[in-house]
Amino acid sequence: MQGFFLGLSTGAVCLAYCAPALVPYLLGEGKGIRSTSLLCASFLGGRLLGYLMFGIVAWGLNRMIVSQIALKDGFIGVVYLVLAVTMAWYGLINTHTSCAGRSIGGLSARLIGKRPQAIALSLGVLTGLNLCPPFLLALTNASEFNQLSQSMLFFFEFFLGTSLYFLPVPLVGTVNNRPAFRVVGKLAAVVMAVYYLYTGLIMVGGELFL
Amino acid sequence: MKLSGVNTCPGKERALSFPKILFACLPMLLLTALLLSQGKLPVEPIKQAAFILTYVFINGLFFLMVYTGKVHRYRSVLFITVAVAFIIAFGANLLEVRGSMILKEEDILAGGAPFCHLVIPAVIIPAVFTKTIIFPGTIINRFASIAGMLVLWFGASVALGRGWCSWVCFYGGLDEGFSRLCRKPVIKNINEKWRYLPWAVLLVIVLTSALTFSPVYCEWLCPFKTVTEFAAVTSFKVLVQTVLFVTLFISLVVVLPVLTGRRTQCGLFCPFAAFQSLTNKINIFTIGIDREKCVDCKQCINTCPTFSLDTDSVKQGKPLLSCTKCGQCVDRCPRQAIQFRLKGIPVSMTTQTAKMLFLYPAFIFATAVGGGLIYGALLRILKLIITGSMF
Amino acid sequence: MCLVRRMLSYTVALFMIVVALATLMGGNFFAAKLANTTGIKVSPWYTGGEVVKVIDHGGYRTLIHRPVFDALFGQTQEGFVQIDWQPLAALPETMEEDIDCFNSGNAACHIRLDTKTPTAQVTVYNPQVIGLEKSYKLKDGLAVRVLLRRE
Repeated sequence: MQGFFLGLSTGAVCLAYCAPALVPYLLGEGKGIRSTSLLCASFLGGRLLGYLMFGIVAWGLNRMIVSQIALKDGFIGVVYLVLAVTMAWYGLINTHTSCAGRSIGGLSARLIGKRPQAIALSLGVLTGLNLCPPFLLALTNASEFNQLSQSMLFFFEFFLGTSLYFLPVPLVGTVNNRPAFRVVGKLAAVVMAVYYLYTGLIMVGGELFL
Repeated sequence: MKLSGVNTCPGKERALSFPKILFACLPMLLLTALLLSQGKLPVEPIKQAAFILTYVFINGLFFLMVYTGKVHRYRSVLFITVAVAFIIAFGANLLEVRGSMILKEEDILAGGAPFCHLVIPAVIIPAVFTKTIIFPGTIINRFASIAGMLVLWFGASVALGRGWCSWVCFYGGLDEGFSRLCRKPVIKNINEKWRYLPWAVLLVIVLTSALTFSPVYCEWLCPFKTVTEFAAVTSFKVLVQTVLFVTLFISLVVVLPVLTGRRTQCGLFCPFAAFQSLTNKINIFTIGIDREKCVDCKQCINTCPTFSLDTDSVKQGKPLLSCTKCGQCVDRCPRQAIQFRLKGIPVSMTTQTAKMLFLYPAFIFATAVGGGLIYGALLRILKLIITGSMF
Repeated sequence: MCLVRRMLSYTVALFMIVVALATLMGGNFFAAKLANTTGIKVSPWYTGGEVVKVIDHGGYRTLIHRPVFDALFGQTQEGFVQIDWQPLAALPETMEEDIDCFNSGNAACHIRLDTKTPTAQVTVYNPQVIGLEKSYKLKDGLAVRVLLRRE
C-alpha cells in the first residue's frame, strides 16, 4: 500500500496540477452532476491509463528518462504540445455548446459530439503522462522495483490514493448549466492550451536554441 | 412611442446653479490640496510649479465635470493623462533607483518589484493556504508595497466597485487613449462570447498561479510589461515571454482599441477586470436606465468601452456586472435616460445627488493615485526642460 | 419602507466618502495592521526563506537560509537553499566554505566563490544536493542558490 499512501499524501498537488486541464473542460461541457461525474470518471480512467503506460515505460527506461535532463525536457515538452492541441481542439471546435470559435467545426465536431468522453480520456492520459512533482516522487519510488507487475501495481495504488481528491470535482456540474459558464470553460480551455503550447515550445525549443 | 413628456434638450434638465457648483467644488479643492501635498507643501520652486499645475489641472477637470454634467469627457482626459504620467514617472523612478527599467534577478531576490493590482487575483489562493505572497515585492514600508496596495485596492473596491477600472487603474488610460484616436470604428461587430474571455483568463491564471506558485499573468500575459519594467532576456523562456508581452500590448492596447473604439484590453482580456467586476455586487453605486425615457437607439450599447451593455441589459434597465462606471453611456444618451444611481433607489427617483455622491469618492481615489503620478511626471518634465536631466 | 431604503442608500453612499478618505489617509496604518495580523510574507522562492544560521568570519558573515521546497500543498520535489555573504566591501577576493545546507550539523556541499565576477563552483558532499543554481550580486553582498532535492 506504499503507493496508495504516497498518493494520499500528494493527491492535493495532483488535483492542483490536473485542475487547469479538467475544470475548464467540465465547465465547457455544461452538464449536470451525473454527466460531469461520468466525464470526470473518464478523465480519471485516462489518467490511470497514462499512469500504467508510464509504469511500463518507467520500468524499462527509468534510468534514461530521469538521468538525462535534455531527453526528459524534450519528452515533457512534446506531451505539453499534444495536450495543448487537444485542449485547443476542444475549446475551439464546437460540439453542442456555443463558443466564439464555432465556425471552425466540421468532421471533428461530429466526432466529439458522438464521444465527449474521448476528450476527457485523452486529457486524462496526457495529464497522467506529465512529470508533475507527485508523479516524479512516485517514479523515484517505483524505480526500486525490479518486476514490471510491482511497478504497475505501485502506480495503480498511487492513482487510487490521488484520485480521492478528485471526488468533489463533479460538483462543478452544479454551476455549469448556465450558458455563460460553458463559454468561459471553452475559452479557458483555449487559454490553457496556449499556456501549455508555450511551455511545450520552451521545453523543446530551449534545448534547440540555447 | 416613448417620446412624450421627455426633455429633449440635453444638459438643461440637470445643470446645477452656479452657487451650487461652487459649493460642490469647494470640498474637492480642499481635499485635493490635502491629498496632493500630504500635509506638506513643496518648498523648491520647481516642485511648487509642478504642484500648482497638477492642482489646477485636476480641480479644473472636476469643475468642468460638475459644471457641464459630462462626467466621462473630463474623466477620460484625467484617465489618459494619468496613464501617460504613470509611464513617465514610473520609468524615471526606475531609472533613478535601478539605473534601468530591467528587472534583474538580483532585484527579485531583494523584493524590488513594485506590487501591481493586476496580480491580486493570482496571489489570493497561495496567500490563503500558505500565508505567502507569490510576488517579488516588499510587504510594507516601501513604494507600492504589497500590503499598501492591497489596502488601497480594498478601500477602492468597497467605495467604487469596478469603478476602479475607470477611475483608479493607471494602465486603463492607455487603451482608452488609443480607443479615442479613431472616431469611426472599423470593427463594429464583436461576437458577444468574447466578453467572457477575461473570466476564462481569470480562471486559468488563478489555477496555474496556485499550481506553479508564481504570478503567471505577470510572467506570461501582462501587456503592460512593455511600457513598465521587464525582465532581462537571459534565456529562451524570457525571450518568448517578452515577445508575448509586446504582441499583446500592440494588439490589445494599441491596434484593437483603434480599430474598435473600445477598451479591448480592459473589456476582452484583463483577468483583474473580471475579478473586479465581482466587487460591483457589493458596491452601492451603479448605472440606471430609465425605461420610460429610453428609445432603444442602442447608442449606449455601441459606445460602452468595456462591452458592459447589451440589448437584454438595456431592457432590464441596468448594465452588466462588468460596468466600470466611466459615464460614457450617461454622456452619450440623447434622451438622458441613463444616470448614475444608488442601489435601492429607483431610476425614476434618482437625482443629481447620486452622481455627486459617486463623484466624490471616485475623484478622491483618482486624485490620490493619479494626482501623485501627474505631479511626478510634471516634475520630471520640468527638470528635463530646466536642467537637461530628469533626475 | 421606500423612504427607509432611500435613506439607507444615501447613508451608505455618504459612508463611501469616509471609506475613501480613511483608505488614503490611514493607508500606512492599515497596511501595517494587515501585515501584522495576517503574518503574510513574500514567498521564499523570491526571498530565499528565513535565515537559520549566521557564521561570523570576523570581517564578514555567512548567512544560510532554510531549504526551500514550499508549494501550495505539501512540498516540491526539487528546491534550493540560499547562502548570503555580506557586507560586500569586506569580502575577500575568493572564498571557500563548507555549507550545512540542511542545518543538520553536517556539511552538504562546498562552495568556492570568486567575489569579483561573481562566479561560484559547488562540490557536492550530500546526494540531496543537485548543484549550483546561480550566483547573484545583491545590494550589500553576494548570494548563491544551491539546488536541492527532497529526501
